[in-house]
Amino acid sequence: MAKRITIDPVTRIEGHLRIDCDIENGVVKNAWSSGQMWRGIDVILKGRDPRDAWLYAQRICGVCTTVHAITSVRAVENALAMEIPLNAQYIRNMIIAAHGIHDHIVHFYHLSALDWVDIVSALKADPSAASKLAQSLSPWPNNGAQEFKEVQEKLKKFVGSGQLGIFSNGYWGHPAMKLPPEVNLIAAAHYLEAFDIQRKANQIVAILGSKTPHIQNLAVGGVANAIDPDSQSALNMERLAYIKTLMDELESFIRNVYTTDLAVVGGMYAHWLPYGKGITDYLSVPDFPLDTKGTQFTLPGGFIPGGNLDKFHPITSFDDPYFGTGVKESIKHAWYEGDWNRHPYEEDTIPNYTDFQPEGKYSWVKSPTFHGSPAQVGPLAHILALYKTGHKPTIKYAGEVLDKIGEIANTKVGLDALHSTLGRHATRCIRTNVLYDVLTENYEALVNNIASGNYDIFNAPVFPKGEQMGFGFHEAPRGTLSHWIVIENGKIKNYQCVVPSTWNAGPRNQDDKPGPYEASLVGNPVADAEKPLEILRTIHSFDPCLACAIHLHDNEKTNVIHINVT
Amino acid sequence: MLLEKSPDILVMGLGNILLQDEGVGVHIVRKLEKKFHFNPLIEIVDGGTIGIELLSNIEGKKKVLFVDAVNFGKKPGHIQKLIGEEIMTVMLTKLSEHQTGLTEILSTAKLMDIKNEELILLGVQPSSIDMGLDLSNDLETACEKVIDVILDILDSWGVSYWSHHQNKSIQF
Repeated sequence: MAKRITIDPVTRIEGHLRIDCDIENGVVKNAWSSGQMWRGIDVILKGRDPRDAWLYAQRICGVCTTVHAITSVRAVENALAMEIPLNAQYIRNMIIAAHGIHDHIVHFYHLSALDWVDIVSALKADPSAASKLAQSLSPWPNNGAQEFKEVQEKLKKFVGSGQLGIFSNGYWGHPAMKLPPEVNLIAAAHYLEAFDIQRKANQIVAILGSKTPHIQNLAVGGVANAIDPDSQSALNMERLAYIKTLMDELESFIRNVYTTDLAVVGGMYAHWLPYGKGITDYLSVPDFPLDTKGTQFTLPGGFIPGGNLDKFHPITSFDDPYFGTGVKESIKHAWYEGDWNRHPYEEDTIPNYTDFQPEGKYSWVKSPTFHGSPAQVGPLAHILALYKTGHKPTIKYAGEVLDKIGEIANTKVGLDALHSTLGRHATRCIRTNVLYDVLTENYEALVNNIASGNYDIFNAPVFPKGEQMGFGFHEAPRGTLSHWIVIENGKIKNYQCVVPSTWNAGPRNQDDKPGPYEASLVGNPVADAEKPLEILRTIHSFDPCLACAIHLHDNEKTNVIHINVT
Repeated sequence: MLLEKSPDILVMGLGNILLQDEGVGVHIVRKLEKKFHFNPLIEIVDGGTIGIELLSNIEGKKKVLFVDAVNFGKKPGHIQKLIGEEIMTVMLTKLSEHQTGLTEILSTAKLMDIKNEELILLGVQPSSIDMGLDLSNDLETACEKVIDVILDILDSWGVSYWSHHQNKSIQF
C-alpha cells in the first residue's frame, strides 16, 4: 500500500515549495513538485524602459539579486547586438564569480549540511579527538581542540536556551544520520566559520557593485564603476588591493575547509551515492566572457542528452541560436490560463489557480524543455560540460574531490557517481574551486587592463524604432538562467525569466514527463514517513530557490512544517 | 566604504517592492532618505528581501531599526513597534515565504555573538500584496505616520534631523 505524504513547505530553502510523494515499502514510488508562489515579472515590466529592467528584475528574489541583474542587462544588450567594454566584462565576471562562491558556501553549510550533520550529536563529541581527526585531514589552522571545545560550549548554550532558531526543524537523532559525534562537531564548527567567510565573498560583490545588498553598478552597455587609479571615489588600486586580501581568505577556506568537509560527508555517506539521479539531460551555458562580443568564454557550457558526454552539444556565444530557439515552456500542469507549450517570446502570464490536482494543474512553476527534453541544470550539469570540454582546473579539482571521497569511503569513486544527490553537492564544491580560479584570472585581467591605461566601462545603448528581441543567459549558482525580452519602439513589450529552479522544480511537462526534482525522488529511501529527512536531502541537493515573490511577515503562530500521512 | 567609520545607527527597510505593500519598508526608507538630513549621520539601507547577508549590515551597529510589512491581522496601515526579544518571540513561528526571514537572521546573529544595544522592528499592516510597484492608497497615506514614528525613535536615540527643503544648514 502506498502512502501519500505532503511536505509543505519544504524548509531551509528560499521561497515556498511543496513536495508530495507516494511511498511504498520505504521507497518513493512517485513524486510531485509544486511551486507555491506566483511570478509575473512581465506584468510589471511591460511598457517600461529596457534600461531599467534590471533594477526591477533584481527584486524578483532576495538571494539571486545579482544574477537577475546581470542576466537582464545581457538580454537587452543581445536585443541591441551590443558590444561591452572589456573592463565591464571583467568587473561583471568578478561579481558573478564572488557571488557564486558566496552562494555555494552558504548552500553547503547553512542550507543543506544539517540534512547530513547532527548538531545535537556534536554535543557528545570529544573535542580532542575531533581536533586530531580534523588535523589529519586538513591544514586549516582553526581545527584545534580548544576551538572545538568553545564551539561545543556555544552550541550547548544555544540548544539549552530552547530557542533553536536556525537549528529548529532539524531531524536530530534520525536513523539516517550516520556521522560520528566528532565529525558532527567539526562540521558544526565550520558551519559557524562559514558565516564569516560568506561575508568576505559578499564584500567583494559589495565593493564592485557599489552598494549592498542590491548592486548599483550595472548599466545596459557596461558598468557604472568609474575607474581611476588616482581617485579616492573611483575604483582605484587601494580598493582592488583590498579585494585581493578578501580573495586570499576565501581561497584558504574553499581549499582547506569546504573541500575537505564535502569529501568527508560524501565518503561517510557513500551508501547514498546511488540515490537521486533523476533526469540526466543536462543543460549549462558558457559564461565569463573574455571578449567584448561574448563569443569567447572562460567556462564553456552546452547540452548533454541522456548523460552521454559523447553527445555533448556546445553553446558557443551569447547569440547562439541553438540556445535561442531551444527553450520552450509548457503550462499544461501549471496554474496559468490554457494549455500551451511556447517559446518565451510568445508567452503570456495569466494566472488560473485550480487547487492541487496531481493529474492536472498543480504548480505555479512552468515546465521548460530544451529542444523537447526536460533538463537538469546546476553545478552538476555545468561540471559535466566543463569536464567534457577538457577544462583543466575542473578535471584537476574533480579528480581531487572524487579521490578524497573514495579514500574516506575506502572504495573507488568515479565520475559516474556524480549523477546523484551527493554528486550535486560534490560538483557544487568542485565548481566553487573553479570559480575561485576564474575570480583570480579576471582580477588579474582587470588590473592589467587598468595598468595599460584602458578605463573604458560603457557603450551607450541606442534603441531603434520597431521591434527587437533578445535573450541573455548566465550560468548562475543554481544553473542556467535566461531572460527574454521583446522591445518595441524603445519600450518593453514582453519579458520572461526562465530561472534555474524552473528547470529543476518544474511539474510534469506537455508530454507528462516529470521534472528533475520529481524524477530524482523516485527510488529514494524513506525510513520514517513522519520524518522524511531523505526527501529533503535530495530536494536540498538542487539548492532550491523559489523566492520569486512574497516576503511578508506573518504574526500568526503556525507550524513551519506539517506532513500529512494519508 | 573602506575609508571612514560607518555610522552607529542603522535604519533598514525590508520587503519586496514588486508586490505593492509588501515593499512598504523599502518605500519608507527611500522617502526618509530623500526628505531628511540627519546628525549624526545614520545609515539607511534598502534591504529588500535579502537574507543572511544582512548580518554584515547589522554587525557593529549600536542601534538598529527595521521597517517591514507585518501581518498583525489589523487594519491596513496599523503600526506596531516590536522591541528586542519581542521580535523573536512574536515572530518566532511566523510562516514567512522567505525561510531566511528576520527571525532567522537575528537568531543567527545571536549564535555569532553579534550584539546590538537596541533592536526595533516597526511593523506596518499591509492592505494589498498583489503584483505591482505602487503602494495601495491606504499605505501611501500611512507612510507619513510611519515616518513620524521613525523620527521619534531616532530623536530618542539622540539623532537630530531636518528636511531638505527647510534649507537649514549645519551649525558650526
